[in-house]
Amino acid sequence: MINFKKTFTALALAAGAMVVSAPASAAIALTFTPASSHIDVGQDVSINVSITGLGAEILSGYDLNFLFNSSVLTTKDVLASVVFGTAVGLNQVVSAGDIGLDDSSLEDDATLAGSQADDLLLFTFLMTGVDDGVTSFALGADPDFERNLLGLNFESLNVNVGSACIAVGTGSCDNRVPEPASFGLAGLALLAAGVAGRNRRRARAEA
Amino acid sequence: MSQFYSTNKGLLSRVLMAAAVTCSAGAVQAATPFENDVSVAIDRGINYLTAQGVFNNPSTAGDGNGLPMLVLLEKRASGIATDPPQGYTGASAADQGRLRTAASYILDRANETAFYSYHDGAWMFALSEYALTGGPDKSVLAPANADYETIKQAMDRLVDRSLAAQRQASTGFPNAINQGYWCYSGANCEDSSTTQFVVAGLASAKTFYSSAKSGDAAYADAARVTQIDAALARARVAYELNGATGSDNGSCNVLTATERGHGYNSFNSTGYKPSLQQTASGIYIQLFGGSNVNSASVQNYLEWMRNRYRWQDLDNLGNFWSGNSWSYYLWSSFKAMELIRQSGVAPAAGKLGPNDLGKLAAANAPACVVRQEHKDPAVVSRPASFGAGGAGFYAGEAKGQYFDYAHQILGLQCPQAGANAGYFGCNASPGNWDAFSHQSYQLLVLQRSTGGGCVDSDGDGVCDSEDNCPANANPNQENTYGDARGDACEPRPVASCDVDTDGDVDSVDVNLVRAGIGKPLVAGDKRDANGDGKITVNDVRACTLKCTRALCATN
Repeated sequence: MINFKKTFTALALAAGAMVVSAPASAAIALTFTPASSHIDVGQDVSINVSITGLGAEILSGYDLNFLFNSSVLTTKDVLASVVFGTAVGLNQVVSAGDIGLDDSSLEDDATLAGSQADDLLLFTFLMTGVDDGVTSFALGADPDFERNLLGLNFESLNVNVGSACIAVGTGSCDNRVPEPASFGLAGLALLAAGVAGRNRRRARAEA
Repeated sequence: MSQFYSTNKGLLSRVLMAAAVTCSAGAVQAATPFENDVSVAIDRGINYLTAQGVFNNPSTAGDGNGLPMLVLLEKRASGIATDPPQGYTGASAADQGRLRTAASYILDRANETAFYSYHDGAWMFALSEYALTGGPDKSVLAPANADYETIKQAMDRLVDRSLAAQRQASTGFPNAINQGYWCYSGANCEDSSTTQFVVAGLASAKTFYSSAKSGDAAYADAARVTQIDAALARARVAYELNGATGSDNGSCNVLTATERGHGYNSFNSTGYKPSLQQTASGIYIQLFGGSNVNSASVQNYLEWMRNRYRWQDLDNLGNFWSGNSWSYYLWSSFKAMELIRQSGVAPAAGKLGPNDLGKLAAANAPACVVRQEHKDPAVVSRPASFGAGGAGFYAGEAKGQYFDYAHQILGLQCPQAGANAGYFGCNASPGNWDAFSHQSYQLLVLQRSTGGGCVDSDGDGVCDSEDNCPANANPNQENTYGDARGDACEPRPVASCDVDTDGDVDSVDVNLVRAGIGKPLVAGDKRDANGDGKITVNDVRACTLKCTRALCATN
């Protein structure tokens, strides 16, 4: 039942997308799990990277570079999932603060379409904290050589790429400060709540 | 879970592709008033054949049953003329039943008959199209009937006896000018009314034998394709050598020095002057035999037709039988021009093409008093049997051969209230030899039929209708971008991917492309498969898809 609903929904969404000419691959995402984590110096953290929402698309190859602050984090292990059937073979280049990965399937598009699920776990990174601090764990910016995921017909996919934050020791991922405008809105909300409470109390007193 | 998704994902892709096509077709079809009336005329015309028992009892149409069978196969499921034919698979349950009955008749009769040009030709093109569009074979139609042949057996029988009946050296005709023709039941005359049918049938049989499909047995048969090619080439040469000048109509006799046509028999043996009907079929005979629109003789035939273009009747532009032949003329001439349009080979500068017909005025040189110009959709009226609408009801429709023919045919359809409802034989119809064949020819014109024949303009072994680049030879149909246009017709850069230049693409080449990721290009770089000026993983993947062997295996 769930599967049918999923298929039906995907069909309806994609059909709708075709009619209104919306990019069919807009819903494809590269997700990092957990998105935020904290470890001690010398401790390991495991980050899963998955591609989701492939729908009618496929994943046929990739050329990716995962970048991070090497003074905070180091690479302990990289595990790549088998998602291509027979492939050219994973090419992995690990250096300080940079994990480069590229591979490409040898199967044709139709075979991949028939074998891949909509969501695929691509990598599990085992990273070790080396010093106090915080770092993002994210793809480089170059669309050809650092964040290039291939779909049907050897075209690059349009992917919403996420990232992870890893805090080590005294570092913290929760260092965001509200912007002034947010302060103003919060204050207005508090003021409104206070006025409403006073009005309710007054109404009860007059009843 | 994964397998379920996988299966549905594959299905989903196909459904979405179909949905996209449907959306697209829906966006462009917006049937015009004329298309609507053509659709109505087709339905009424088929209903006439049904009411006459042609489909439920094929012997009603006798040995001509291949024509109404082709009508059902070429019917557009949507009623829109530019949509693909329904074939067997796309037909309604009722039409599929009729097609099975018609096919059964052929599978039963083929081994009980001898070669006869008309029925063998029509049987070959009807059975071929039935088989290639998913029509079931003997194991479904009549598994226990020993008298029936399978589709492949019946096709082999029809083809082999047709090949043996052609005029050629082995049947006693050593000169090329006498070869290539078929007579009614053998090689004893040089008749073109019979030859045109056998050629049309063999051209469809070539498509059949070139296919990777199968029924009870595989259809592919390279040896017979070679034999058919040789027979069709002989016919082409005969029509080139017998191209003649003149006309039976004195005022339209010799109009230009380079025009040539073909009569009901070969000019060399009988002196028959050219006719519109046989000149028209002479063009598709040359196309099936390896010519294209720019071939010298095809140009000569086109010129003869252009100088005498006519849709109303055949006047006396061609020896005898002008009334009887008219409906076949419409089909053969439309088929010939449509095959050229589909070929992808455009007329070269200064050459005639199918769209040049109907543009010469009768009063202008070269003068021919019975030549007709294109009908003007903004002026002609809607035939009364289709409803109200005066002059200009079809305004906006394109001028051209199709409108000329189709509008003429619509005007001849008998009203729904009469005994011959749907028959194209009212309102001063020029006449016919056989009502059911006549009806079928008219319907096939309305359906823009080419009869399933294989024209291979570039000689690469792939029929134009299937070829992703019909004008340039590309037997392997390479298509780097996976679109409708093969690499041989691709204006964008197409890299060969054969980086080590050893004549194939394999894992060695793919790894060389991969090793070049991010490196600068060199002149004529074979690694930049998508031509974007960079070597990326996209090129690795593109070259993977161009590998000579599965999974890029090396020799």
